[in-house]
Amino acid sequence: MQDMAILAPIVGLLIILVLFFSFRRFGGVLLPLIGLVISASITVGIMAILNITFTMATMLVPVLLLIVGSAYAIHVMSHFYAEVALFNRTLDPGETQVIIHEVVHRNRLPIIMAGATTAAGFIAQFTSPLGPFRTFGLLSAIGVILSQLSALYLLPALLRVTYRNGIDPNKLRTSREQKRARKGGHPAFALLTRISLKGRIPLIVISVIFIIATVALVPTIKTGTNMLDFFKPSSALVKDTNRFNSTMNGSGILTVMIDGKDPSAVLTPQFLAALDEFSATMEKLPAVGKVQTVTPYIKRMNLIMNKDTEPYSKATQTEASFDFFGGSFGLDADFDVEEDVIETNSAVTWDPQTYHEIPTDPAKYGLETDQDLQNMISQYLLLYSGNLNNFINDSLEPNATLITIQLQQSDTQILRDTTAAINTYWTDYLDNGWEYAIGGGEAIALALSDLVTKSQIYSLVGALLIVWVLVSIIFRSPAAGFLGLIPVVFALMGIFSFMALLKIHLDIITSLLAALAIGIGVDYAIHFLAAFQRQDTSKDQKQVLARVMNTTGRAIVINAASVIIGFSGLIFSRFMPIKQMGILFCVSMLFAGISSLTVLPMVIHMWQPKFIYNHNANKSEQKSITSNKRRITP
Amino acid sequence: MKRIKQLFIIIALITLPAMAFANTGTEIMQRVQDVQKADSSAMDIRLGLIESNGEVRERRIQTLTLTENGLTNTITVFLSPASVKNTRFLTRQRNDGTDDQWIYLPALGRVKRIAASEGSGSFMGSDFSYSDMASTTYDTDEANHTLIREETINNRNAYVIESIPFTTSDYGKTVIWVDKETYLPLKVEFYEKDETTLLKRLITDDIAFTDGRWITKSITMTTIATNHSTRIEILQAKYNIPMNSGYFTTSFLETGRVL
Repeated sequence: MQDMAILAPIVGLLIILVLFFSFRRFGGVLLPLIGLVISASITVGIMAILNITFTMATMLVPVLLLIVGSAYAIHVMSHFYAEVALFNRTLDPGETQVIIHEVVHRNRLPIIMAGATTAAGFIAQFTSPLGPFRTFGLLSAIGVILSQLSALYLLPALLRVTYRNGIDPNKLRTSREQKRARKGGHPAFALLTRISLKGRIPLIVISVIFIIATVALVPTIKTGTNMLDFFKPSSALVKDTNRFNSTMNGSGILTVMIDGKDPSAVLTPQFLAALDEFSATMEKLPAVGKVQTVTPYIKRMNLIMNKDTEPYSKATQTEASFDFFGGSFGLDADFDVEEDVIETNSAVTWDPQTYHEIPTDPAKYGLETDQDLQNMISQYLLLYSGNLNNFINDSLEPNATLITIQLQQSDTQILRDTTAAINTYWTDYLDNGWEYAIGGGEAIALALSDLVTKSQIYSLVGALLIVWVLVSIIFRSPAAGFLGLIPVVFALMGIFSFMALLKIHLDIITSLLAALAIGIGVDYAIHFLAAFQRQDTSKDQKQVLARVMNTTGRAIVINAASVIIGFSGLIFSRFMPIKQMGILFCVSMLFAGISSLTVLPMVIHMWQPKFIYNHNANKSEQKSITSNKRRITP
Repeated sequence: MKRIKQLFIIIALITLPAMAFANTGTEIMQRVQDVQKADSSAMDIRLGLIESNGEVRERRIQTLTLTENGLTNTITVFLSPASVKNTRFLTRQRNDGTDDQWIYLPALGRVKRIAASEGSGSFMGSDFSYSDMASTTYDTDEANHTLIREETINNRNAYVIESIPFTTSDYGKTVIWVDKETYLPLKVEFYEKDETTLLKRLITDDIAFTDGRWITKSITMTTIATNHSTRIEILQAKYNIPMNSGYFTTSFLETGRVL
């Protein structure tokens, strides 16, 4: 919570900076921001109405919306300014309206599509078994749709109000921009165009190397969630836990419950001896601090009861059944006063110090059978007035016992190793009919981590599939679906290779990333493909691409920059996973952005897919702003 | 002078009802104590330990109590479960009021003197502590008893008495519903030391007229936090009967015979 109070303003400020440097004018910052703030506020309002608590996942929603939502507004603003810049004279209110209308018309489909795929990435979180993640997915999806609607309906309205008196493109441009406009755009876009058209071989080589590197690095990613890793090593919590773990028995808990079904089953001497050996075996493991079982109590009681007096052989069950009410309470001579022959043969050798043990040898205790020993242990328990409920389920004849293992380290790997050791020991030892189960906080953490990782793989596959289907439907071509996946695949490769390089665990929070990167990464491809479709591809390839680069390419660069810089704000989080999420998002968007401006146009140029080229060839008339320009400049 | 006299009357008028009320509480508890008092008693008891899931485990004990020269001695014999059968437990009260305790474990075949167990410890894993087994109400010299109201419980008229012990040990407060007819407790609530958190609740399930007196035949104690409960049934009971004091010796403890 405190973290969000810091992060939200930082991210907001960073986005304002990006907007300012992109458009270099007050309106360019303020207008997109109004929509963003409104849609983020509505989402938080929905949380308040539905009593949704701020969890680790849901508290990210407002910040994510600021970052992701800015993209739609950026596309509208960028296209609007680009179109206005084509004129060299002041436009009257009517002309301004036509331009706004055209910009909205042209961007409606790409923005709706981009919003749909991003929302799909969030909706993929519905497959999560964890409630907070489903809530997160739903809220973010709602927020994305809201910011998309605000870019399509609120923003144009605001533009019309702002430029109700018309607009002078010369006032909008700096002298440097005017120079660039004459030269045909920013040199960076010219460079990108050249790379896409001529740099085929280097691009393919780099991509292949990147794919190989990712494939090699992925297996080194460690999975698992160590809750303590969520905090900075310098935080008080980490320091205290480490101190506690090094000076005491450890703060991580694994429990094993063993159920022998029959009454007193867990008091059989052989089982208790095995239990005692188990705790000794486990305590040898470096991560295990202490194993708590009932055995020390039994050993101690056994010592106390036998250290002062020598056990002697005696027929134990001489009094078959006792009943005070059978006679006259000792007043009549109804008692058999015949002396019982008590054998006082000493037990073999008596050394008081050897009685700190689980009694397993009946002869040593002057007894005959294991059953006698088991009864003796029950009788010790009867004597024990304290509470052993933590260890056994009945104070006299327990059939189940609980073992508590304290861990000084609780990495996923250590938990897996410890659990394996427990399984090995008890599956070998326990007979049929006996059952054991592993529980405790750390077991839950382990199960949770496995569950989340597994569910994230499902949601990753689900998101890829959804994106492919959506893009294919939008462009009415399965090929478009595959083209749309190019930046997505680069984004994912960026995420996974950097996770390996920076030794970031695939855990509960970082695993959220992949699905989101898919949803956001595909936006670039959608805008790019849509822009291509709008062009007259019968013209010179270089000209077409240069035009796409200067309009949509420019929007993508600003969009990617705002997302990257926005997410870099998360680096200021005190919460490690959010910090790591920030880094990985920056990386993934960088890769998605660069690949959609280089690899994607290269593939389009090489492949010449029908959905772009035939689409345009069939169009006799190009509906573009250029034609409008002709219409308004007689 | 007259004024002072008036003042005294006023003070008396204010304090008298309060004192009368306080006395009533103590008087009722004195009756409760008296109706249960016996110089000797023999009881055959079945304990049912009822898990919150309804599973029941049974224990059976017999106990003899004899008060001689103002000192009370008790011997308890465990009849079941089989693993603790014939375990015997002797408590002898010393002149200073404290207890000496011995136990006989049949598996060891020896009598061991043990430190007096903590009164708050659970008796045989039941919801009754050792001190609950001795008495579920405070004596008049152990607590301040106040009659707080009268009400009907299970169709019986009852006094509701609040008892605050002079020295807090196990409980900070108990509230007792005393049957107006028999002066047996019908219900007891045991509170934490903060006097507001309910720890356990005792309900009298059945009362009966046996051996010339009213006794509680069956009672159930429930621990609120765990929803675990224990039912105690008096299978047989005899009061004020002549009894051989040889039972209350370590020799009986060891041999099971009165010499």
